[in-house]
Amino acid sequence: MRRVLLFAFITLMAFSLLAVVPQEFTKLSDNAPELRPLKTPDVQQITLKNGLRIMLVEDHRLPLVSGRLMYRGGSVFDPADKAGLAGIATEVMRTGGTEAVTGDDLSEMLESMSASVEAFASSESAYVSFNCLSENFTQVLDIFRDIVLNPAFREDKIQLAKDQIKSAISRRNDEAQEILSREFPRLLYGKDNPYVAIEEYATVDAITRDDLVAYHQRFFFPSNGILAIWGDIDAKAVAKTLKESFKGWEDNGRKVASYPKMKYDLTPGVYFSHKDGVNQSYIELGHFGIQRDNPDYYALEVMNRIFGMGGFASRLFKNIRSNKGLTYGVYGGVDWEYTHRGSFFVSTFTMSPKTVDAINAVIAEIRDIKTNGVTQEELDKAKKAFFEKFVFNFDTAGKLIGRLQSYAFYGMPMNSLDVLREKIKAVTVEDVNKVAAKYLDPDNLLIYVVGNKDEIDPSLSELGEVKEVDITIPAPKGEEAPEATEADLDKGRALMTRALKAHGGDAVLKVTGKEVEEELTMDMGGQQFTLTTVAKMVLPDKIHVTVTMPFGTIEQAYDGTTAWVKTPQGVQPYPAEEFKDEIMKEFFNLLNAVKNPDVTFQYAGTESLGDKTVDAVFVKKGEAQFKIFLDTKDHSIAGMKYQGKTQMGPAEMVQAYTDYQTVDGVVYPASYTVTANGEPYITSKVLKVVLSPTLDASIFAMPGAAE
Amino acid sequence: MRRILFVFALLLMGSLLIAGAFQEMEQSVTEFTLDNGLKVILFENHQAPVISMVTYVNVGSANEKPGITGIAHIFEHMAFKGTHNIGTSDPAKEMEAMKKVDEAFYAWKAEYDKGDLKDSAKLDELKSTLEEAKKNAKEYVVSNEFNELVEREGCSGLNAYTSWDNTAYFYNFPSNKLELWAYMESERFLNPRLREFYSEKDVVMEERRMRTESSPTGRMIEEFIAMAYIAHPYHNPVVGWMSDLMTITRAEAQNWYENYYQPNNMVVAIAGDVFPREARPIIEKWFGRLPTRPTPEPVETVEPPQRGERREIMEDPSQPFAIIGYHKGDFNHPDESVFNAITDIMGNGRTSRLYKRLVRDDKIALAAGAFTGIPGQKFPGLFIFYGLPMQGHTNDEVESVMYEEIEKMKNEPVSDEELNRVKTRAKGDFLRELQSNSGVAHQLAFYQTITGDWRDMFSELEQIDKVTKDDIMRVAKEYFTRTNRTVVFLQPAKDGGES
Repeated sequence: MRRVLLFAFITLMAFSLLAVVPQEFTKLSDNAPELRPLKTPDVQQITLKNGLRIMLVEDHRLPLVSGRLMYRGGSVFDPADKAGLAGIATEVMRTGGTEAVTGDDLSEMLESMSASVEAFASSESAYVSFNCLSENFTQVLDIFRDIVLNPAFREDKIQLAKDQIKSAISRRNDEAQEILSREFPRLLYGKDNPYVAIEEYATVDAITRDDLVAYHQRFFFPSNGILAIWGDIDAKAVAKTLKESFKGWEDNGRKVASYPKMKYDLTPGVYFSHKDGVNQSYIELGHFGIQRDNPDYYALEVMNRIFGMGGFASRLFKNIRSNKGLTYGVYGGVDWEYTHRGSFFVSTFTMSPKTVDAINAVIAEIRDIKTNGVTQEELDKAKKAFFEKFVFNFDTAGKLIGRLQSYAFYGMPMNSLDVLREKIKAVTVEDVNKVAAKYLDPDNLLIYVVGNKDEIDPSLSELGEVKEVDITIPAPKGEEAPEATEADLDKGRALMTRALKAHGGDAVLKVTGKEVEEELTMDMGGQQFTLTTVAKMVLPDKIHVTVTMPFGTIEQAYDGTTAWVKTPQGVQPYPAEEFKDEIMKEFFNLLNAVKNPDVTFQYAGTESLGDKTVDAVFVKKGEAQFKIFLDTKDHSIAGMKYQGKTQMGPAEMVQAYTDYQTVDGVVYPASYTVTANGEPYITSKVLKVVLSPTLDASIFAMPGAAE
Repeated sequence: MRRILFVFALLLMGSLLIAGAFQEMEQSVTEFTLDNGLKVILFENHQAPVISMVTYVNVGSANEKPGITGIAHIFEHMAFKGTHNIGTSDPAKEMEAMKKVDEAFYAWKAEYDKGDLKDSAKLDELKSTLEEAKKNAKEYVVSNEFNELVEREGCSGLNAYTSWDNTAYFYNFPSNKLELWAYMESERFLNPRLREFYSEKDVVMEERRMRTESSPTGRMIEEFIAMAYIAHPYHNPVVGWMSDLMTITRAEAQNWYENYYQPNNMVVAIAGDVFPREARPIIEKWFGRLPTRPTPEPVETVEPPQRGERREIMEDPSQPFAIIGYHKGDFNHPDESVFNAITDIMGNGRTSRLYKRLVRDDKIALAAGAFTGIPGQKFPGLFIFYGLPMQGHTNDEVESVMYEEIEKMKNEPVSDEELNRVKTRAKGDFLRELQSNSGVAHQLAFYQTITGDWRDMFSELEQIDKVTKDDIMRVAKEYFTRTNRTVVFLQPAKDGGES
């Protein structure tokens, strides 16, 4: 998605009276000489026999050469369950080296020459680029060619790339602005839309070396890309060299992929995601925009400059920021994409109490321009700025060739910049007013806010029904159970039934609740600390836990519907889903589930757990699943494996019971250990167990909650 | 058409290239000093009819005193508000109204300054009076006029920044507007009018909230620098402390401008389609109007040597981040080029030691690197190591591995490859800086200000060529010591995730 959010650093109070311009200024402006003509460098365009398009520009001012292969292989083509594929493939094309040279050796070679070759993918397109001193051009071009044609995708670099992306995923909600920019397009276009898909732990985990090889095979063929090289080169010589270097590279029947079709189902309304620790709200609102080939594009470009993309001169800047002082940055307009309709958007941020004011002010601006249009003066100013700045579209070879490469990539005529100039010249006030009326829809806006719900006052509900947008990062899926056969299911339940008997049979089924005191030693980042817990439970789903640590006490509880936590700082709600998952693994609930037809037990062979041989059984209820281990000798529960999380992120947890005690005829664990991703995490000693105690029901309710 | 080509015909790594580049540059640069002390540097590149300009003022937040921290940055904002006759419909009436705003602010401030003894009701009343006065003054404002005029004439990339060391104003223009720009730029430093001062301060406070207070990393860096510097004004954030922002007055900002914005404290650098014979009289005409003023007082406080390691752990639900800083000299210190070499070897690219060890081999960091230049270079600065631990790893782990790499650098000479790479990259990076007119303008102004001679951008390359393996070990041993370091960690709280 081509989206640039620019926030001017300078805030100025803005409200436009009739400008009183000093004489001196007018004189200098009127008497300014004509702009000296720019001699646009020649762009040589060649198509090789194999279909590869080449663009070359000579610029001998500095002894530097740059190049970029732009090809149709962006993330929009990632399979939904492997989101992140293009990103990883391009990363590892470089870091994984080529058949001949490892990525690390390439880094040594390139960096010693102060050169670089990089690859990356954006949404619709992907790139392999290089930059070097002209004296190293031959060598670097060769490395570039080798990476394009023969990437090795070495396994260690695949793992490194995946681990880094997963770490990046864990950080993606740290900044409110990032949340806003990521989630607004997903609300607008729909989460499942490939143009706005994002990587998740599960999709990254699913990507294999075969996928990367297939990616390369699918997108790297001559007709699928455009190679641009510019700088201190001899264009004729380079053209000849390229013919030679890419000989043998053929399409071999591969066809350029089509961009996915877009659906445009707008779901207007007010959406909100809470973010702790911010005293500002980040706001984006809008609806669908246009596609580049829409003939109204030109009038809309002028409208955009007047409305919200014209820097200090735009209405949004002057009225929302300067005049009303509601924000420090505001920007927006009817945006476009080559391959699908872009978005009409306005993006801003403001201190939390002014959230509703800011949104209403923006909506008022949209209505105003839609209903009342623009003035001749605004049009003239916008067009003048456009023409005066026009030279900056192509004042360097890099800018020029970048533009032409994009035009070629999207099938636009090479003279599109000239056409733009002519068309903008012809835009009138009537044209702008017409498109403003046609393309702006302030009654059907999708409004998204990321902010601190405790400080947004008046509340967003003044604008309409507020829908929460859950931005919780989905935990990685644990080990998945394979297809279940009848035999597996029967054996699983049979093993569980035996386990129930081994732990006390009816004595277990009779239990209504428990009070358990444990002493835990936790390992975190090389440091250990001890704490005690007291857990009180009324089966099946009411639980209260008191955790006593060296520096204080924490209470957590769940009453079957809502969960809360109480710390020295106070009481706060807690995600109920986390308790729901834990509840299912609880000792008594697990054994009681033997009688529950909604829970399936799928036998999955034998494994070892510590020094025990165990039968592995997948326990599944709805979407949730985890694995338990049953001792093959005495049929007791030896432990379990599940996806959990530690302070440092999601982790695969393995719990192993190391000792048991008998209480009221029930064989209950006396001690156990937990590892996280294979590392020691918790050691627990169960100090006291009371079964079916009488408990005060009020302890599960959130303190201070209305009765 | 006269064209001066910047041709490096004989390109060899080594001193030939640099000597060649130096000669070429000398031929393309014209420098002169106006009678009022303003230094002007012109660099010719006639490839396209565009020019980039920088007005580089040798004052930054390090010049501030307690009570007015943030004022350098505030004035930078104010420099876009126009002049006595650009930005207003009636200069005389406006000034009257502005004086009334000042009075209302002083009254509010007097009550506010009573601290715990202040009368809240009275304060609210005084606030309303202030708002009224501001509204009245706004009647005479033609807002954004300066910026709109300039943009309409083709100005692109209009911007400015304030650092601890300096304040810079820059933009790009089509080259046929040189005189118009000379008029506008000199005008705004000749007769700035600090209109809407108190509203703009509100905006600056919002900026502080956004950049620092609402951002975990922003908070962390502010704490880190404040802890590393206990005496020298690098201790204060550029955006200023919130309490100072609350009470800064327009008179104080006007004073600031009069003290520091004077021609012999400024450099104007222009790069691009500029012809010295035509440009010089234009610049002399318009910038010659800036009056000379007495030389401002320099910063005299010197940060004393650190007496022991300083550490802070900041708890925040965001992902972890570790930063370690060591005190070092300023830009003109003889060891500066050695530090540049160490930065390159430790932190630049996939061949750097920190990348190889922490990211690639041990896989404990998502990213790790080293840099200098923060807070600034005019006064003794910091050499900084940083790391972002990978999921499942901690700041403590990243810290210990970094110290291992630092010890290695003290005791074992770096390899020939590493040292050669430093020198080659320095030259490559230098050339890349010259690619854009705005890059060139900025480099010229920067060097002219910090060393007194723009030609020193070349001597810097010569210096780095002379760095030896022994130099690196010596500098590492001398500066990367426990006593000399400041460490700040940002990490989630340990107590069960809810704090």
